[in-house]
Amino acid sequence: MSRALEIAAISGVVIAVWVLYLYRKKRLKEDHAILWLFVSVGIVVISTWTDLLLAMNTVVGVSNPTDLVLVAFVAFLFLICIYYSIRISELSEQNRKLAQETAILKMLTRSRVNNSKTEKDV
Amino acid sequence: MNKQPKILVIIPAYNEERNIADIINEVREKAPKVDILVVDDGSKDKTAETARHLNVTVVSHPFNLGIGGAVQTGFRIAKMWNYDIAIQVDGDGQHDPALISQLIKPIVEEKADISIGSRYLNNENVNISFIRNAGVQFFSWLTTKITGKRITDCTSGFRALNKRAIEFFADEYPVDFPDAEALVLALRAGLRISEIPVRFRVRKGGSSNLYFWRFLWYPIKEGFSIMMLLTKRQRE
Repeated sequence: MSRALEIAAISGVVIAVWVLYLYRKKRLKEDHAILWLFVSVGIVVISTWTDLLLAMNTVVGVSNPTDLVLVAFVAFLFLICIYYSIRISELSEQNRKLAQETAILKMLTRSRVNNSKTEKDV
Repeated sequence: MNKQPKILVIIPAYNEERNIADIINEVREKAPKVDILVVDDGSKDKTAETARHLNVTVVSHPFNLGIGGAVQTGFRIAKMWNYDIAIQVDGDGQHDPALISQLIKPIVEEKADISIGSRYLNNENVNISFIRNAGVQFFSWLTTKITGKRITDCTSGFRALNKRAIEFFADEYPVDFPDAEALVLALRAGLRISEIPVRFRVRKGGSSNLYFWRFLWYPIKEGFSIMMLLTKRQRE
């Protein structure tokens, strides 16, 4: 195993441990934690399972096996970025609806309070 | 429309404390039979307080949602309170409330679901910069090409809507730059649109929300949104 693959494998383990730590501290939700765990396990598997890496290497046709780890990692990151863009778009839409609902409810509450004050004055 | 229609003027306002009192008083003076709703879109100044002092209904967003979000809140309230007509009048004083009676005429006569005040029907586009003018012309051309309906001023925010259009937009309205996209949505849903000639006035104070980056972003986002609408199924 080359030095680069060793570093990749260690990085994968560090990411996995960090993700589990963040999840335990409730700073990551399950779905996000699982996603990152898949990524880190994927990195560790590709970096340590030499036969798999060589087989993939033959299929993809990359000259240096380490490059394949890098390409796979970048592809993972791309997918995760798209996933987060989808989530952010959904959350923005929910946020807008919530803000509108809150504003309308506050307006209705204010008008009820004003009406009851007027009735008391009368 | 046989009976006297129940009309709501929606004034979306963001940091318009210098203009809002004038526009409210002007609407009251020139269109006394309408109700007024100010949608304060998370202003950092005293827009909401100023409007409340004038005894109009004010709805305040907890933070800035953009013009589309503000206008849609107005439509949602118009739908909730069962208004027959909703009129959008900008809070910067560019729209003349004296033209409200002309603006709602096609709706009252049931000839249109949406009526737009157009600066281009009688070439009243005197207060528009060259670049903005080119943008308006381009998007009006694009809207016309896509929908087959001639629209001369697709970015005009001076609009009146009947109940059908209010219900449609209360449910679905573009958020960022809603003008042209909303019209394409409406036309594709079978709503009828007509335009009346108007002249816009110069802003009385404050600044437009189209600052430099937004100004660059506007045509890209608007063009993309309109083209993508073509890939969606039409709504009834």
